[in-house]
Amino acid sequence: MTIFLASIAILGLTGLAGALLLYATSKRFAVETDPREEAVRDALPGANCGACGLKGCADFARECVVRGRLDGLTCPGAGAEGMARIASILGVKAESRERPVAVLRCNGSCEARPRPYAYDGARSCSIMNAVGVGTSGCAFGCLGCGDCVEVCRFDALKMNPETGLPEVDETKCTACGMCVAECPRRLFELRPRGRRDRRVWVACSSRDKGAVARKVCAAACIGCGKCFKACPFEAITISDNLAYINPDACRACGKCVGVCPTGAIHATFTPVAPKQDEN
Amino acid sequence: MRTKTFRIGGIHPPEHKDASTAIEWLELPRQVILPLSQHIGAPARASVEKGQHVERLQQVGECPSFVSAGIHTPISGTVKAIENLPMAGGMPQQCIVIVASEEDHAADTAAYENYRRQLEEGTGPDIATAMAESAENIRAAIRDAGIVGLGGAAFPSHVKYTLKADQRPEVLIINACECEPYLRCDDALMQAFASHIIGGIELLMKAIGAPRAVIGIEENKPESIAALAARIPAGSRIEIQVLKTKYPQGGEKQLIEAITGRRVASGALPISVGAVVANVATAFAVREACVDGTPLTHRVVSVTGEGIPAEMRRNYMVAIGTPLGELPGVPADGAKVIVGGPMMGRTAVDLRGPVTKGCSGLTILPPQTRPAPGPCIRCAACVSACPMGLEPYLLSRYGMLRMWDEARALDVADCLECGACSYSCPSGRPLLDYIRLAKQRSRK
Repeated sequence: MTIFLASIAILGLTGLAGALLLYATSKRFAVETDPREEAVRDALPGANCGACGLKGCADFARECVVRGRLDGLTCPGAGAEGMARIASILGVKAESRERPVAVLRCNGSCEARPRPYAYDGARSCSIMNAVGVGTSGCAFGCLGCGDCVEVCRFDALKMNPETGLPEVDETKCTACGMCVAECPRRLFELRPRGRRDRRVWVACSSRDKGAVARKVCAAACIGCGKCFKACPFEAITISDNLAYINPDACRACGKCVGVCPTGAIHATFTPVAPKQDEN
Repeated sequence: MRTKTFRIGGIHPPEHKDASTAIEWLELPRQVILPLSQHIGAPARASVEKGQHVERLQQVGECPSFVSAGIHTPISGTVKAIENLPMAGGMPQQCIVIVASEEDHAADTAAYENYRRQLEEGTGPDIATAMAESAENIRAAIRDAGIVGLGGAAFPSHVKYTLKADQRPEVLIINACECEPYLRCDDALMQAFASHIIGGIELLMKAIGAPRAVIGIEENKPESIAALAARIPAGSRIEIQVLKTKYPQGGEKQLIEAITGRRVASGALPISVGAVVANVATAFAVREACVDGTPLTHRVVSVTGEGIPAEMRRNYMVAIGTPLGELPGVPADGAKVIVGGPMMGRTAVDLRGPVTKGCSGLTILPPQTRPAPGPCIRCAACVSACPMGLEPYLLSRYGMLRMWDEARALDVADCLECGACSYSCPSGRPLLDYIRLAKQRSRK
């Protein structure tokens, strides 16, 4: 009997001594953390995408608390709602900022741009681009292996097997810019969402001359300049046989969409024009 | 003589060197497509305009900077266009298109025939005049001829052979390994023009100031070894070193190690161990440029592989700029055409693409696609195969996971892209594809 009591006593006492030691050390060497930091971290999406310009969500939270204000710090992933929560945690006024959205500047669906070349290497756009192989003749267009889909942490990109192009889910896109950085052909652009989600952009990146671009892709921008002439707001510039719509000047009237002979200009709405965009 | 080799890794793929070693001279094409970037470095700048008439061997593209190479036309004719045209790999590139008229073609053919006779009979200009030139003049002649490394990498030769004042080459190594399976273009060249190659080596030794030269050649080319040995003059500082037939014996660092026993450190150039390496076809081109004044407008191209009948597996002297599809024996479709050898070559998807300076051959295989890769079973076959002592399975994994810093820490930059890892992988994983990606992305 005594042997049991002795063992229990020895174990209990050792445990107690250990607990006291641990308690003392944790008190002595405690790291001061701001409870706000943890609160901010909880309000973040936790994707560690780096779109804020810092190393990750923990870094962002620390930076917020250290600065004590938000000037310039934004998490595109958290959105306006999330940023408002973070602002209230920090006790500052939330900055209202419109969140842009990623758009694909390529229109070369399987139908418009045939893929005559076979490629059986590793399925990665970067690899395809690096070895100089494209499945279509277009040196600028989407390679279609979905590297962008792979890097998107917010599930906002999907490959459409019919068009062979990625599609942006604008409700999920946080404009973190991962796809912009990943695409070896730089096809994504972050553009303002526009008033009532009305926006217009040139869905082509081909800098080839019109005839060359047209030969490989029926939906290519051929730099004809019709949109340039049609635009009442001087929002369109043409350089290297490619039109570009300046989002700050564009009022989303949709006139350019109608005049584009190849349907290279996309709009998120149905423009009032005789010729309509395919989508 | 004892055969030498490099120590780490290496593989023994089936050689398939069954093409004939005779060189067949193809008729000059009526139209050539000359890409402005056939080399490493800045693309050449077109120095002719659309509609302009150009003479055979005239320079049509000039170097915009030091690390670049000029482009010359193999035919006379009119510049039809300067535009983006698809290369063999499918990517369009800026090209000069030259079309010959009937008169142009007849005059060119006569001149070309004359050049060929001179070469084959050895009645051309004597090498003594060229040898009397200073090293600078030889290098200038190499630059003006637009010569690049003809082993495949196509690095501008005049850049490689311009050494700094404190760099003292001890040996010029001539790469005659041709370790790629199938290809026999260098073998054919050595058998046909051994004395020209020896002349080119002497010119190169003078250009860089190397006291001796060693020709490294694999033991599976006894005819070439005999041909070269017979042409080396007595008392010459050129010697032949027979090497084991092992892939990649012709890798620059592997070749230097096999011949000198010295290893080039990671990130260092061969000159750091006193060696300068030149391909055997480059030596030939150097001789033609310095002695005859012929710029790099032709090269020997092997057309071989199981995809074509045995009697069609040959070597051709081809004008650079000839569309690949016009080479004899190249099937229009129904075969896998690889530009280069099966190990380092790239699949040609568009046979309208031209023969470029770095194109050593076409390997034509029966139609096939890569099987879907299996999982990595950690067998380390790739590790044993890697001639640089890297860990390909790990590097390719880092490439897949976009972990560039980790790949850099494991010396991915040392990879010579020989493909021994992908070849040896029992799961058929595309190891090299991802390693190449990691190599590019981790570069700072």
